[in-house]
Amino acid sequence: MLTILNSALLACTALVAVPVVAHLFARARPKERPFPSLQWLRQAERKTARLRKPRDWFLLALRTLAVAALVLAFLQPLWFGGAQLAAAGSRKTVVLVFDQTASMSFVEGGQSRLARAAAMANDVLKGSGSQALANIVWLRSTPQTAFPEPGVNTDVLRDQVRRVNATYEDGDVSSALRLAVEQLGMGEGTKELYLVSDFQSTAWKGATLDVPPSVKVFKLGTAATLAANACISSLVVQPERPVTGTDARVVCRVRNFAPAEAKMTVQLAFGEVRQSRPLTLPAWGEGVAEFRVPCGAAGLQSLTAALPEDAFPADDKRFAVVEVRESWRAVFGGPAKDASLLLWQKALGAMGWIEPSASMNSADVIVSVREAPAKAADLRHEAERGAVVICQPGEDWSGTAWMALLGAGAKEASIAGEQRDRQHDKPWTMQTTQDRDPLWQLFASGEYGDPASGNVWRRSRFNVDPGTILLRYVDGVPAVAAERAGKGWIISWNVELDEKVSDWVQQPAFLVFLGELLTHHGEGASGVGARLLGPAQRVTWQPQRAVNVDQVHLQGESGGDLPFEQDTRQTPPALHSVKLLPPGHYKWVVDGQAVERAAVNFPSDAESDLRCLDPDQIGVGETLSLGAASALIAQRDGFPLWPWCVGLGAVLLLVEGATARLKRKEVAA
Amino acid sequence: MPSVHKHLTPGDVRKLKNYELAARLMVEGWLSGRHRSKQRGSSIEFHEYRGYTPGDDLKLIDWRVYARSDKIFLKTFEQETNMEMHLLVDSSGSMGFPVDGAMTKIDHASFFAACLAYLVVRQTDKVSLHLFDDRVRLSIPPGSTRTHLHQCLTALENNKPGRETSLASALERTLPMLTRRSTLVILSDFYEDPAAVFKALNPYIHRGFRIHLFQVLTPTELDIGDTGLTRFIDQETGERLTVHSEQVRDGYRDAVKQRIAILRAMAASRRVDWMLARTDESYFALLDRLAEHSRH
Repeated sequence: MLTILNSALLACTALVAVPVVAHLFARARPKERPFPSLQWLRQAERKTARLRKPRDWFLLALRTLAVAALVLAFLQPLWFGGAQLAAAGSRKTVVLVFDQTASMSFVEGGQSRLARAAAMANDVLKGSGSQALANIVWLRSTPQTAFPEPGVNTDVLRDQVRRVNATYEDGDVSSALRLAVEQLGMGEGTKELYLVSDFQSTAWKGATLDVPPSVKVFKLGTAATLAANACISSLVVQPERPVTGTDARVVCRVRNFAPAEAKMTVQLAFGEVRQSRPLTLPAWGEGVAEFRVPCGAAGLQSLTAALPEDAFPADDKRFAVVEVRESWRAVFGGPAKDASLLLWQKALGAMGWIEPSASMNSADVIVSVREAPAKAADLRHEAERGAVVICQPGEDWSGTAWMALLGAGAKEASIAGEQRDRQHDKPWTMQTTQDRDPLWQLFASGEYGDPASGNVWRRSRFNVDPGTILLRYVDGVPAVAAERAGKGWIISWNVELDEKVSDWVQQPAFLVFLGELLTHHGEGASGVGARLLGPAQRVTWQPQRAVNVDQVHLQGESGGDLPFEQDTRQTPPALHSVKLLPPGHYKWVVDGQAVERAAVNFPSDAESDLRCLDPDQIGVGETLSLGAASALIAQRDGFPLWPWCVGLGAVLLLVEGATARLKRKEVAA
Repeated sequence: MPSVHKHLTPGDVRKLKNYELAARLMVEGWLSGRHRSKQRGSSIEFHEYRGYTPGDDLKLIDWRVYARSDKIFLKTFEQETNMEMHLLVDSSGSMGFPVDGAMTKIDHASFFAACLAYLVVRQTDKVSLHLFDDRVRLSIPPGSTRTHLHQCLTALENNKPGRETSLASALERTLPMLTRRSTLVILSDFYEDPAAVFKALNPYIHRGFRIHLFQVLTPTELDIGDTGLTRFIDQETGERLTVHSEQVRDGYRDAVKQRIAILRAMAASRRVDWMLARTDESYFALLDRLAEHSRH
């Protein structure tokens, strides 16, 4: 059976009449001429007509057939054999996995990958037939289906496809395919699965493509070119919550997904501060731009790092919200009347930016003086959270406690206290190590004294490696050592502050050293901020107390109000943006005051790496390279006749040309 | 000539005087030469004296005049014969085809017929005229007077192209009227079956008629030229035929040649003279060619 795909051009079949009309028209206006007798003319005409008339008709037939063949080629006829006819009438289920991830917004050749995918999906749905059950699985970070189960209303699906936009999410290919197979299981008849995607290698390589053999899989790739791209892959602030008046360190990691070296400038905006760093990125490599920005007023500050806009601008910016705090919170632990502990409290209390706190969970500094060995694990945990734990262990600490605190090989460790008589014995003195450590930079000029000056008459001797030794006694026994633990630090402290056995606290450099020690190691609590959201997360505010939602506004960088909703399941109700929002800064405003901020970022590097797999490299299915449903259906359901029509038309025109040439030669002879 | 006729003007008459000898020879060749023994007339009348020209028959020299004047003159006589010439002029529609401006094939044939009639009457032979298309439209019986000539010329002048050609039919009709063996001159374009024509001529041939066929054709009829796509209208039947000249030109030429060849061959086989009377050639040239034919 023959069917026509491009029926809109059916009216063009009238063109077939053109040669006939031209033929008739050409014969319609001869000159009239009286002649004595037609006797000999008829004789001549009869003679030549035997040769000419058939040739005329032959030429006319050739021309008509050539035009018909060319018109037919535009109509795109399909030939259906018996088996295909039988299949066409049967029920089938069609499920499309439609890639909606961020990389689909990349524009190639004036058209985004998503637009091409939408056209393909539309064509597939259009060609699936009125009897087909169809559904779409949107490939996102959390794949979803358009219908709960496959349905016949493909018009709705096509409408959704027409209106689809790329998200700023990455995609979970394995989950999407699982969902698609589930959907196919709900259908009936033959099962067809269409994968409409750019087949981004980071998403598809290694994905689990577990499709039953009974399902026909077709792959429609939308990526056209090798796309070069650069992105800001991470933005880290140290400390995560800096204190006002201090500097925060911002580390911006930039990746180059291109086969050539790239030079660019990273721009940083933090509150009112603007900084930039030039960066050279090797091919397929990465670079780090480091900034040090002063933290001014306390509160939530927006941090934005940006690259010059490239062909894929979605990932050229990265956002963060930095909470600049008024002060650090310190927690002190140990025997209540321990002299050293009291001096610790006095010393830290003397610093204006540290305030005592009762909660260990939110403490920035934890001072533990001769606490029970059982606390070691808790201290370690807090350090890993990001706190600076200053631990002066008691003599009762065993190797196990040391292991719990330092996290490694100290099972046989032991602590032995030793003391000298202040009146008669020579005290132990200290010296700095790691002179190049920035910790000592402030003291290099001598203006702030010698941080190692002071005498100590009581100390501990332990046979464990406490990490990097910052201060040590002249005889080599560690005095102060620092060891990284997770996001924070564990500072092993072996210097008594009790004035009876030490005069260090009386030294002018002591407090300065303590401040430097804390600020340098306090950066351990680095991070990107709790208010940093991924693109698959809605912007949320959990107020401390119930608020009047009429007075609340959710605003983006442009200042316009964005819709949000209240989640009354929580108390007080949480507020969520209605939609997933594109990357950028957002703030919750109450009575004109920004009470909460959030930053939405482009997903991981995976979506920035725009390299795509050849669909043939995907383990399953058949690759369909054509962009139109008509061609897809033709490949699948029918035999396309248009190339044959074009060929036939060309052959007919060639024969016509040869015949006409032959005729002209005969006339000339 | 008492009056000026369309087909025999004083100019033509003057030209025919120049053709006098040729015409005379021709006519004599026709009449005297051919019918010397049986057809010669009984009386000989003095015609004129003229100067001797080398080659003249010495028997015609008037020696008495020579004795008196010492000049050589020939004494010529008008030979009275009873010869007849029958002119059959095709007056069908096809003969109305224009030759040049207002002149048609029938005019061309009439000019020639008028000349012949004039020459015949001038030498006191009899001439008859028959105008025909698919039938005999007019027959003027043989006569040799100037009045008769005038009658013939007037008939030619009033002649108009008629319907289809049927020479065979005309010949059949005229056969009973032409009882004496004589000369038959047929002026036609011969748009009919040669076999039928010669079948109709056979009785004349058997009765000893000297037959001359003049096929009157225009250059356009001999070669239709490059006219492109043309609708040809038959002047006899009104039929129409649309052809491209490129397509039929060669075939047409072949058809004409073939027809002429057939006519010529059939004429030759029956000892009938055939000549092509092209309308782009002067009809006086026909007289020369007629003389040429008569000498052979």
